[in-house]
Amino acid sequence: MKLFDKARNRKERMRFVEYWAGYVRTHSDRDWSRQQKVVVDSQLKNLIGPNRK
Amino acid sequence: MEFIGKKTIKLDKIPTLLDKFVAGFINILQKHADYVIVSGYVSILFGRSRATEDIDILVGRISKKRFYSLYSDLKKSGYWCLNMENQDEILKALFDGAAARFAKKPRIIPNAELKFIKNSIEKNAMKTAIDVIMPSGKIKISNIELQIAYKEKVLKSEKDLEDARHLEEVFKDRINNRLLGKYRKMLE
Repeated sequence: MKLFDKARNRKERMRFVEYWAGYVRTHSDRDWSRQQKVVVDSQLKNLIGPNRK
Repeated sequence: MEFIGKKTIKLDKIPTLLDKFVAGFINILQKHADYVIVSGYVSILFGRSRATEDIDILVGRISKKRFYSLYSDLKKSGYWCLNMENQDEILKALFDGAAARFAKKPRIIPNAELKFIKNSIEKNAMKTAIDVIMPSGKIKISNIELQIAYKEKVLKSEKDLEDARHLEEVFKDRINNRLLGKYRKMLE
């Protein structure tokens, strides 16, 4: 078994993308956006760096 | 998400930092030029669970006078151009097909990447733009079918294919499949 199977990883990522998109479609904007905000804001803060205001 | 006719979507989302940046920038840009937001941010706006460093914005060509007024307004509101020094250099670069990146001082990220519209696909994106109304304001984005096809057929990276799949799934019941097929064929 390969230590890191790129194709399998890609397939699993895509499956999650589809699952999450289905969640967005079937739940209220407030519900999914509250969860999205956690991910987007933390990624953005990491990109901006430690001296952010 | 509420669909009001074919060209307006009402979105009651809790804004991310990225949404707030876009709303602030568009609030100024829309006073001076026609625009349409394309690419990654369109997927993020509708829930994709990732951030981006830049927001791609296509802008209709404007006169020197209008551009100066836009630039002055941006500067007054605390934005700066990351990759060029002054308004003449920026305007020349935009007319030459290059991009100008604007961020809120003193930051670099996130930034708005502005480009003047230069081909028929981009003209089409502007002409068929959708209004998205949020508590933070109204923005114009490219139509979803064009975004999906462009990401699948032109950009094609893993991230872009995931963005396209996300949009296709979120708008599953609303997508115009004939139009999507037409764009896919056109961009093949």
